[in-house]
Amino acid sequence: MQSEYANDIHLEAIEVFLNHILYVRGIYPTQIFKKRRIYNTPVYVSIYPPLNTYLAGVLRSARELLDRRELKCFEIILYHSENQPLESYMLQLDILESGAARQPAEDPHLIEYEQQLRVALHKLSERVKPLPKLPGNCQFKVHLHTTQTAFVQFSHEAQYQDFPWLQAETPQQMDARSPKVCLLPLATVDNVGLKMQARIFA
Amino acid sequence: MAGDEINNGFGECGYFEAKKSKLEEQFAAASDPFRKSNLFQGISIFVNGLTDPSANELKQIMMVHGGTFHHYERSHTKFIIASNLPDVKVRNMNTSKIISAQYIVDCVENKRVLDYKPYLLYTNQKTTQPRLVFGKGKNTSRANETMAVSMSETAPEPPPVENDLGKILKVLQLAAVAATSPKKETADKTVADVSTLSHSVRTAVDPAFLGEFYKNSRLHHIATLGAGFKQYVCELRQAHGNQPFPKRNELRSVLSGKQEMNADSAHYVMHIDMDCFFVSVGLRSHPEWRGLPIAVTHSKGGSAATDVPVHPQSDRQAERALFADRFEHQLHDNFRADKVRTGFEKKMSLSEIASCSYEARAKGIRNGMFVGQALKLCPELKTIPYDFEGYKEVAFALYDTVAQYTLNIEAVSCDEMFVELTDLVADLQVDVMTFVAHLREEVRSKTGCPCSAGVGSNKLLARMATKKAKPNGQFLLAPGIDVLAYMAPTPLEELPGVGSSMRHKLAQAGLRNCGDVQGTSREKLESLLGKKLALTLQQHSLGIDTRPLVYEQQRKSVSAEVNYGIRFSNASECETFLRQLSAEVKTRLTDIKRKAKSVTLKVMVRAAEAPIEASKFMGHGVCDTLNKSAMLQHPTDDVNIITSNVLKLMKEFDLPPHELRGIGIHLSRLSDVNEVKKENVLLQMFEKMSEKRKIETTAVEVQEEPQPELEQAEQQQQVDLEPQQPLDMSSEWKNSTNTSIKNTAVDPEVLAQLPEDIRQEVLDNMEEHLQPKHSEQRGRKRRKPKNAVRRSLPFPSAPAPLSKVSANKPSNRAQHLRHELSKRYRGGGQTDEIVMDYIDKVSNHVHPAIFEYISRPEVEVSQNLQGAAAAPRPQPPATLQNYLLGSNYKTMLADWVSNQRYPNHTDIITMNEKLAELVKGRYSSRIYDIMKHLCRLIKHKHEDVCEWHMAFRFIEDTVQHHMMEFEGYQMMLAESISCVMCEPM
Repeated sequence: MQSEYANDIHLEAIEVFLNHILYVRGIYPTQIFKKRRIYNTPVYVSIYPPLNTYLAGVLRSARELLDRRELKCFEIILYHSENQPLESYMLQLDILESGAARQPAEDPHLIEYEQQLRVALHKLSERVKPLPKLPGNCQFKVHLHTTQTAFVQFSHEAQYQDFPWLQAETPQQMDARSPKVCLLPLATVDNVGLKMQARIFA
Repeated sequence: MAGDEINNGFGECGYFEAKKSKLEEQFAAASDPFRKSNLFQGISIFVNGLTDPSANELKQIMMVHGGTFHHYERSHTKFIIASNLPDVKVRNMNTSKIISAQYIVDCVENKRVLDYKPYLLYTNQKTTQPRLVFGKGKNTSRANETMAVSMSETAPEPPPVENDLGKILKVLQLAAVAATSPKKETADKTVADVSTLSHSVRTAVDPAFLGEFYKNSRLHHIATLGAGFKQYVCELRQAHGNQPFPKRNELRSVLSGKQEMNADSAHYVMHIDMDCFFVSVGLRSHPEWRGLPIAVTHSKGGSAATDVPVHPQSDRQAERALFADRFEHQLHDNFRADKVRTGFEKKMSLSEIASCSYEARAKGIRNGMFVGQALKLCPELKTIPYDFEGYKEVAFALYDTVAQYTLNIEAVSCDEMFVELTDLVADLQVDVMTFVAHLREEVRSKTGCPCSAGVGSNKLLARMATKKAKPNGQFLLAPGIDVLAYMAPTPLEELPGVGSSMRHKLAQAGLRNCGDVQGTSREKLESLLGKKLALTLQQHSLGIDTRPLVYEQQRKSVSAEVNYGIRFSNASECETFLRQLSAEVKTRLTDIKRKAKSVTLKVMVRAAEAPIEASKFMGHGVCDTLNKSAMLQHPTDDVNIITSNVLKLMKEFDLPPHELRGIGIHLSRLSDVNEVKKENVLLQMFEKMSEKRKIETTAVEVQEEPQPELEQAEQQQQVDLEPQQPLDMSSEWKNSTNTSIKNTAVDPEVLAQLPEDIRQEVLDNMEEHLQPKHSEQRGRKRRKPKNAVRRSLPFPSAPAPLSKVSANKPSNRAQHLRHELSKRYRGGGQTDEIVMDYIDKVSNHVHPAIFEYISRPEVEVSQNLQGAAAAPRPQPPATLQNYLLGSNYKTMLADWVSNQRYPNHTDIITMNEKLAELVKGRYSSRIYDIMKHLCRLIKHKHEDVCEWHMAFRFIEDTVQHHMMEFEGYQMMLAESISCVMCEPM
């Protein structure tokens, strides 16, 4: 698998998970989602144009960082009031740590990969189900975990100026080890080195 | 009536005792008039059986010299005099006082009481303990036996023996030198000194044997030289770094202009090899012999070689037939079979020829031939001895010369190497053969010995080219040449990796040379040899060789083997030798700065059908070779560990020592001394624990014994109640031993059987000795950092023997355990309370040994963790051998939960261990599944068993602890058990 294809595939997976989480957690009314067949399994995808534009902007930036191999983690934060997150879903990309592409050559048609993503999607829905229902009027935001240099370079790129990113609070604040936070392991996709877990803020 | 019978004039003890006492009195009375000295004052003897001097004579001696002679063995008889005793009696008796009659005689002779130990008929000394073996001393059989005693005991002996002693001491010291550093110069001195003691030819029994063996062994020298050069090349490469080679410039100026470079970018590998290395080195000092047939060998040659002394017990004809048979049928080596057939003629020398000159080869003499046979072919053959120093000098000169130009060298042996020339030729811009010619000339001028070189595009072709180049020439297997045609006539056995048995196999299929193989299909070869070998063989026959040059070769194994002069008469001799050989191999191991993980013992045993004595003097003859190996837990270079393993392996062989003909120790799976251990730290903890358990249980056993000791003490005098500790126990253990004393010393059963006064004393003493230690432990505990203890509990991997005491008082211990645990988990939240409750009940369901273990004092744990902390921090192990990661973990859990009414504590602890490993390996998703499944199982199967509920909470708590530690978050678990009965709220 060539690197650019690999990035496309990763990005697609991220997009699917992003849509899926938004649907499962009920951030938006279910009417704006339409059932599509992806990875040979039904997935709800947004058909609401403003949201789609926003998501496209997010993913375009993520794509850029992926290409530079600077994207460590793609974090979707669900919150009710600013600075008080309720849940955060982290898609950790192991590809950066393990360096070499982990895709085995013996999976040229990505059958195994698709299988694992399907499992991950189902696992995600299954494990999220017992979580307490979110209050109404919840919002979501996306954090991209990357390096300082990548961020600086990125914000100077002209073509991404129309979708600007802000630096979030320092990671220390976010990572404050509080006993109130629980970790919910969601899925691992070994073939791509994708690991997903959610932090639930009690 | 009954009272009358007792008071029948014989006192309280009955007739027989009275008789014994009376006889004693009579003896005392009768001896008074004869008494000349009080030499044997206080010594009483009893004579058992026929002795020399006889019982009567001994009785008289005792009379005269103030001793006592017992007609019957009594409890206070000091010595039993006997010349031999049947086995049954020996087993029944305390053999420590049975001595030979010679003792009395010698005492009288020396007019003083000697140390009796040398005269003991049966020593308690184990046969495995080393005995001093020394040369033919003058002091006959007695001396040989006596010297089994340690030096301190023999020290106060009278002057006549001191002479012997001095010698022994000397031999001992020298032997120690020889054993530890056989290569030092002192070894020569040893040999000289020892040979004055033993005039016969040395066998392996002699302590100096090993040193001399390695001094003379041809194979040893060749092998160590070869290995040494591999190391040498490594060192040169490291020392050199990226500096340029000054000699290249020099060479460039010499050769420039001569040659214009044909700019082909071919790959050049040179194989350079000295011509008949040993002979040409030997001839440096005898230039006048050049051109004559020369052979290098141990044998003196001339008439001596055709008329050697033959051991009376050897049977050459039989051995010849055997050897030939073996070579032909087992190894399919016709050449060696023929050699043996023709070489074993009567009285001909069986020394082998190490190397012979081209002139000798022309006469049909080959390397490895027996000298006797060679002399028959060529009577004017000149033999020259080995010149190991010369070999070393020339070999170093050769390597240094080549290393001036490039360090891309793969050392093969002391006189042979592969050199990568591609970059050198590109750098110098010269024709490759011009350079080779120049190099050969330089080697020749430096060493005075000719060499040949072949150049090809890979190692195989280079070697093939060298064959063509010899003697004293060079050959380029140029890229243009038809390699196939060149290789075709090459016999298969010249290819690397083809030995006699493979050749035999191939010959049976009609394949004799490379041409045959070239024309054979791969399938056919694969059916003959297997896939991998077939591929290599076919590639080689086509002149393709994919093996790269290995410049920095790491030693993969170290070994020392002796198969000459091994003639032991008993096990202790064999053992002494094994110790020496272990020390030798250890020295070699430390020389290359590695540690070994595997020890292999190789022994050669005389084949059942072979004659007792080999035809070759002190040789091994026809043998069966046996191998046994042991894996060590950690890589080691400790001579004691190696030795003990070797001895254990030897014991496992269970071979009669006199049948041994060769012994080798082989260390493999080497790792660097400094290499960081990446093993599972938990595993190490387990190992340490099981070791600790062993020692602890032995300590317990010791402590349960004092009863008989005390009884003895009752008869004698004051009792020393200081608990006896095994001497070899290091201070590290003391704490744990003492605590086990505390637990065991109060065994009421033992106490009850003690006499009143001693019991009191025991109780008093116990308070005195144990109380302060207990409080000391407390103090320690408080100082301990808490998080270190929070780790999971290792559990005893080997179930320990059941200790009476711990079974007696479970409730006490439960209390204790509760206390301990509350400390360990302080601040861990309310769940700990459940654990506490649980533990209170645990004692009813758990094996006492396990219970004792989990309620052990904390000191032990801290030691354990300190040990673990000394090792590097645990990395998430790359490959977790954890069955919870397997796909069938659900079945496993289901089995566990449904098969037991109550959870077994060991299982819970194991579970915790495994889950902890998973946390470290960041398999959080799997943990989630496991916990959920386990929870459901328990809910389903044991809805009403609170033990299971508590077990689950305990496990859950541990998991959360670990998650906190490694991830910083607790885990969100989908399910939990809510039970009204055991609800923590």
